[in-house]
Parts: sequence; structure tokens; C-alpha cells
Amino acid sequence: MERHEDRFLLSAAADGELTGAEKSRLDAHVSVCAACRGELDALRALKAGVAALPRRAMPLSLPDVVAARLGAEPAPGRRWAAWLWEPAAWVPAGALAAAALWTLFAAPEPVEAEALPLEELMASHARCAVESIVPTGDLVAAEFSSRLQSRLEAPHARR
Amino acid sequence: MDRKERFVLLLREAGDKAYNFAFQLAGNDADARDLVQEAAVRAFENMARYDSARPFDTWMLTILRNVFLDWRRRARLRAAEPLDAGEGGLAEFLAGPDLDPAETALRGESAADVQRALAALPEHYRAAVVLSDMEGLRYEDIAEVLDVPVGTVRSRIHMGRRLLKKILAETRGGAYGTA
Repeated sequence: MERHEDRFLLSAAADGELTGAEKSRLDAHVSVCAACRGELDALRALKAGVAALPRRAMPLSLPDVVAARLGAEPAPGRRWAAWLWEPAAWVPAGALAAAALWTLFAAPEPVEAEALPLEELMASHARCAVESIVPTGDLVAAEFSSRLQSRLEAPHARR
Repeated sequence: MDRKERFVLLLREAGDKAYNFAFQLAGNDADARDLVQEAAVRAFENMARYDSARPFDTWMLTILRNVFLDWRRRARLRAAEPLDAGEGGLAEFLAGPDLDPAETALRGESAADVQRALAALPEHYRAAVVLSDMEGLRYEDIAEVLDVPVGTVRSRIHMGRRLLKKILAETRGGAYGTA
């Protein structure tokens, strides 16, 4: 190689990871440079040596051990993380969050006792009293006033 | 088939690759078992993040590496890792002249010699070389697993091999004599 910086390309060449331009440049150089050709061969031999190392296989029982752990209750530190990634938990969580936000920002201000008009309170009280003497079936809004009037005017008519 | 069963099926398919990587990182079976177990549990808990368009084994290797880094961080509190701790010494070692390619090609070294030399590499070089040469991952996938740019992968593999050759040459010159 003309420049020392180019040497790392040899490793990438041994892995077949050069771009088209890099490969063309390197091929041209290696064809005339015995040292780099030798280095490339050495790197390929080294790669083959590592690839040929005996591989460790996963013990057959390991997936069952993992499955047993997955079935167990998550550790306290993980409960939140596990819960967050469970889509089924998002609906109630979202509803709860929305309710909390509505309460904080959108709910109407509570009416203080002093602000209630006295007339409205009295009217409400009177309505309750009237309902106690008028049969529920007659409490149809549109006819309420006229029926009440007639019964008050003729209190003995019902007997 | 429920969610757990589906996951265990994926784990059985990716397990050998994950276990071998764990063994190369940790250097022994007991720790490799623990690492794979922990990585599997973490993967299951984070399945919602898994992009099914990507290979499951690459995702599993990524989690495994993170579990290993956490584990090593904790272990370092008890004992420093000799090779990684001595970056200065390593730089000095690598700064020497390159060996003649004829001297550094594998010349009948046993698998045990190569394994020992590989185990002696600093973890960031070892992980890149193992993923490339043993697991057959492309640089793009290695970059994902190691969470570094592809250029860094290329550089780490180059440096890792260069160091590997030197270690093997020293082994040959020491214990086995110069050929």
C-alpha cells in the first residue's frame, strides 16, 4: 500500500466489506504489491482460524429455565417497566390519566355555599314539598303547574 | 401459542449464537449462562420495542452486550480487568512495527492458542472480531449490536486482528519457539 492509512482496508477486504471503489483500488494495488497480498492472505487465514474455533452451544435446559423465570412475578424493580410495555394496561392507564387531567384543568369550579341564591334554594325546597303531596305520575313538566293549581284550589275534591 | 411460548421459540433459534457470544465475552460457561438468562428476560420484557423486520438474533445480541456491559461495570467494582485497564500498555504494544505477514499467518497454532489469544483481546476488539468471524455478522449488524458507527466497526476489527496476530506471534516465539 502506498499509504499506511490504507492498511485497514485489508481487514475489510478479508470480510468482503469494501465498497466498489475501495475494492477496485485495493485489487489494483494488491496485484502489484507482494507485501499487501501476503498481508491479505494472512488476515484471511486468521479469520478462518477464528471462525474454526469450537462454538459453545446453548445448554438444552436453558430455554426452560428462562421460561420458568418469565412465568414468575417480575422483580419489584421491573414491575413498572414490564407494565409500561403491556398494551392491555394502556387503556385503563390512559383513562385514569385523562380523568386526572380533566379534574385538574377542565372541571368546573366548585360552587361555594355563599354564592347560591336564596330564592333558588327556597324554590327547590318548595318543589320538594309539593312533590310530597302530588302523585308522581302527575309530575309531567308540561302539565305540572295547571294540575297543581287545580288541586290546591279544590283540596277536598280528591276525597 | 401464547406470547411466552412464542418468545421461547425465538430464543431456541437464536440461543446458540447468543450463548457463544456470551461465552466469548465472559470467558466461562457459568457467566455465559447467567448473561443469556438475564438478556432473555430483558428481551422478553422489551418485546414491544423489537422491530420484527429485523433479525431477532441481532436484537438479542444487542441486549446481551448491554447486559454484559452492566455486569462488567458491577464486576469492576470488585476487580479491574487487566487488558482493558492498561490502554497505555496496549497502545505501546500496537505501536511497534508490523510483523512480516509470513510470520503472522496462522501456522499450525492449535485452536486453544487462537482461543487464548482471542480471550486476551480487550473486550471492544474481541466483540467485533467474534461477531464478524465466529457469528458471521455483516459490519452493519455489528454496528447495531455494538451501538457504534460502521467505520468504528471496521477500525475495531482491523485493530483487533492486528493485536491478535501479535499475541499469536509472541506465543509462537515464547512457549512454542520461533518457527
